[in-house]
Amino acid sequence: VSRILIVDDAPLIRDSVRSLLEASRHEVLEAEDGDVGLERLEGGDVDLCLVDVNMPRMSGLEMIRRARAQGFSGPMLVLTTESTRALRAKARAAGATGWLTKPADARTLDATIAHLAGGA
Amino acid sequence: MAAALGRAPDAPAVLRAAGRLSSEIEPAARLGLSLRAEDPSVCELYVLGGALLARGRAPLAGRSAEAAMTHGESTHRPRLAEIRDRPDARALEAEGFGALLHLPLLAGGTCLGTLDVAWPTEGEVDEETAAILEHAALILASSLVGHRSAERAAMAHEEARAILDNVEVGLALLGPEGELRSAPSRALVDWLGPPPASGRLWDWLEPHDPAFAEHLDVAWSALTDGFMPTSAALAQLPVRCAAAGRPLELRFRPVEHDGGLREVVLVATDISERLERDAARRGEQELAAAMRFVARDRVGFGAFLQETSRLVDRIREGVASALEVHTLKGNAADAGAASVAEAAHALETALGSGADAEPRREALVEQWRRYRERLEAAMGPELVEVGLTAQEHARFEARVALEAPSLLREVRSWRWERLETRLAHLRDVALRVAERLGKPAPEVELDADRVRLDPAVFGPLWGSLEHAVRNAVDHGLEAPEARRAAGKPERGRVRISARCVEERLQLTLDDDGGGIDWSKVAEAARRRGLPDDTTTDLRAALFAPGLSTAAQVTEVSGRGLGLEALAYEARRLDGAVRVESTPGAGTRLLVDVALPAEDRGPEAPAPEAPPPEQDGWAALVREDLDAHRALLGYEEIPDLGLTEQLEHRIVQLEQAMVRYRTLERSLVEVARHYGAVAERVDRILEKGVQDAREDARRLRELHFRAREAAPEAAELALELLARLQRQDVQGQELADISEAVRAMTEYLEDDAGTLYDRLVQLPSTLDSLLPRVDIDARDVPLDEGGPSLELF
Repeated sequence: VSRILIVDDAPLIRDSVRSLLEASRHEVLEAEDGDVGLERLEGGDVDLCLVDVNMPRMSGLEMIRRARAQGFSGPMLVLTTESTRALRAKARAAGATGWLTKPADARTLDATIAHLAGGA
Repeated sequence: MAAALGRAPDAPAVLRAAGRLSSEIEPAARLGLSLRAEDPSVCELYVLGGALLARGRAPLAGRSAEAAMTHGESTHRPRLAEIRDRPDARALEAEGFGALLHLPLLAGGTCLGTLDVAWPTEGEVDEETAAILEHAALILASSLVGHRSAERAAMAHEEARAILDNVEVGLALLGPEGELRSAPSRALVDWLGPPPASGRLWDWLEPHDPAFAEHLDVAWSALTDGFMPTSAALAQLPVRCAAAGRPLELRFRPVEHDGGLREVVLVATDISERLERDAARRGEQELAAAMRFVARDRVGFGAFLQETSRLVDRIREGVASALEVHTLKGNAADAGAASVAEAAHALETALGSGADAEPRREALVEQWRRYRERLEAAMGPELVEVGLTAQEHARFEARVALEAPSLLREVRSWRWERLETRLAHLRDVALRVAERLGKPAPEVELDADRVRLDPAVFGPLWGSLEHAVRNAVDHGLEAPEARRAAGKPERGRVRISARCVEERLQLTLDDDGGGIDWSKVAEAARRRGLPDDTTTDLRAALFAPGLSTAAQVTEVSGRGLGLEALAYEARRLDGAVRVESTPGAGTRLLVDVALPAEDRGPEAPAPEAPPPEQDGWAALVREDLDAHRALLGYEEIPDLGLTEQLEHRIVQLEQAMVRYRTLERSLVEVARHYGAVAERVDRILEKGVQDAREDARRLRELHFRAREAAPEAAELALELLARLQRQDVQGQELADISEAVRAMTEYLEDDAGTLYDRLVQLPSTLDSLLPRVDIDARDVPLDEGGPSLELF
């Protein structure tokens, strides 16, 4: 069981990720934007964090950068529909651990979480 | 100790064995070792006097004995040359080797050949040497097996290759870095051309599908990063690409070794046919969804079509916002138009990422066109156009007012009419009138802004304009002979124009007729007791009720209603009518009215225009009454009971408005219930289907159990009978038990029969209840688990 934070401005995505993860008995925290996400990271003992790239106000990459600056060292995965070399480089630079292409299916998500959280 | 050996299978092992052999035998004996496999080309070994010589032949060795010799440091080169050409036992014997040992080369119970050991006659084979030789035979045998399986594998590979190259599936083996490991199969080369120098899969795909290639490159890096589990990284590799105009689907299968990714098998398939099949199937599903939608909510479906068409138009013109694309996507998804929703999603993504959205835009327009086409083919254009009845529209508006007030203006505008349509109608009127009057068809020129107007507001104005057009053709345009005399073409000309200028609608009606005969107007005015002194008087008289200059009332005009009605409507719209006339050259009628705020186009941030208030209507009528008074020049309306009648009508109107408002509120209620009921019906249907399936399952289970239980019961009865007879039990007891069993059997069989009948009827019952639900109870699987219903 891991504590997983999902940061996405789309409630639909948060809901579906939550239900997927809860089905695998993970504990899920939600944040609708980067600011809330950072707060949750501070307060909660989060094992792993999923972050949407395109969010209003603070972008997902910016949030990852700040989370790293804030000292969060757990795996942070970028959720994205876009897959370009430029984004990869930026995600790396920001401190992302890896990325998941939306829409991720349950098995992929499960395997990834198990892999990352299990190793953590 | 020198040794030379052709590259035998697993050569080092043989070398080691032979080396050990020779060192241990030396100098006791001179040995000749010859390996005779079933395949004589495989290997021959000679151990001569402690030095190992070898002769290898293709395909085993791949090089000659001489090469083998030079490779090693043999001290017995001449001997090898001597025996090379006669490696048989006889030759060895001639060389002075007497004894021959034949050691079988065994592998998995099969004798692959023999290891023949030539032994000098004078020598003896001691136990230790024999053991060493046996060991050597073992190693050689296993080497042989290895070689054979390699050979077989090569052969199998060739065969497999022949097959792979002749199937319509592209195959390639990739290394962990995405590099091609072996020659890809022919299909891939046919599709993609020769592999690139870099050997990377994405470089190969780059010229065909650059976006895909980049995506693949990026996604592949997740495989090598090690952050993500291999399965997750593989699952995220993109799979659909285009090559040489065909859609390909790539599948990646990992070959893992010791927990690491060793290779990835790429399987590429041309999926054009599958996509076509899918598209056809999806088309059917979309159609079914559309039909369900229509059946449930025809108005809503009409609204969906109109709204989506409008949005698609805006997208085509490139003026749609991202929000509009998003709205379209949601609506399409709700309506089950998956192809359209997907295209909208792709466009939305492209817009969001700053990529070139043009192809996506075109794709969306095209998908929508196809969707409409399919619908029209299936339902006919009428249904697709969905002419909403006024009532339906009102209901729909009520719902929108309740659920999405911000859309109200939009929804209202759907029933607005295009200005062009109205003008075209006026032209038809002009032509019809001319025809009826026996005049040559006039040339009618139209000029309209592309604007839509609310018929509820402008309908009466158009009606009164019809009168004006009739007047123009009837009274304005002269008879052909008069026109000829005046030097004009026989065909008259009429021009109707409608323009929106700022917040006004300006209509002009021109004819090239004889112009207004003011003397006749004055005469008519005098006849009606109207002032006729000044030009202003005469102009005012034109708009007076019942004034007609026609000498004779014709069928189409001349009752004096035309201009009066027009003036009335113009005033109602906060406007006026003006007449300009040039004798002999024609008449121009100018109508200038206000456009209601909400009709001024989307640019004007119009405040939510309330529907006409009851007070407003009443006030309007009162105003009108006053206007009439003024117009008619009477201080009081002549005592014709008109005032009372009008007052009465005002009251009636007010009452009607109250009723209307009440009704409107009820409509909103009805619409709300309607939506809720539709939802509930959906749920009930869904539950009904589930219940039916469950019932069917139970019935079937019962039936089977009953059928099974009945003979069992009968058997039990017989057994009991026998036992009772043997033990000479009381006859009554026996009879009781027997009766009980019989009853049980009968009951079960009856029950089974009834249940079975019911079961058989179930599908048709369900069908009659749910015409669109496809259930076949016979197909409901029977659970193997215990019964959920007790029989007794």
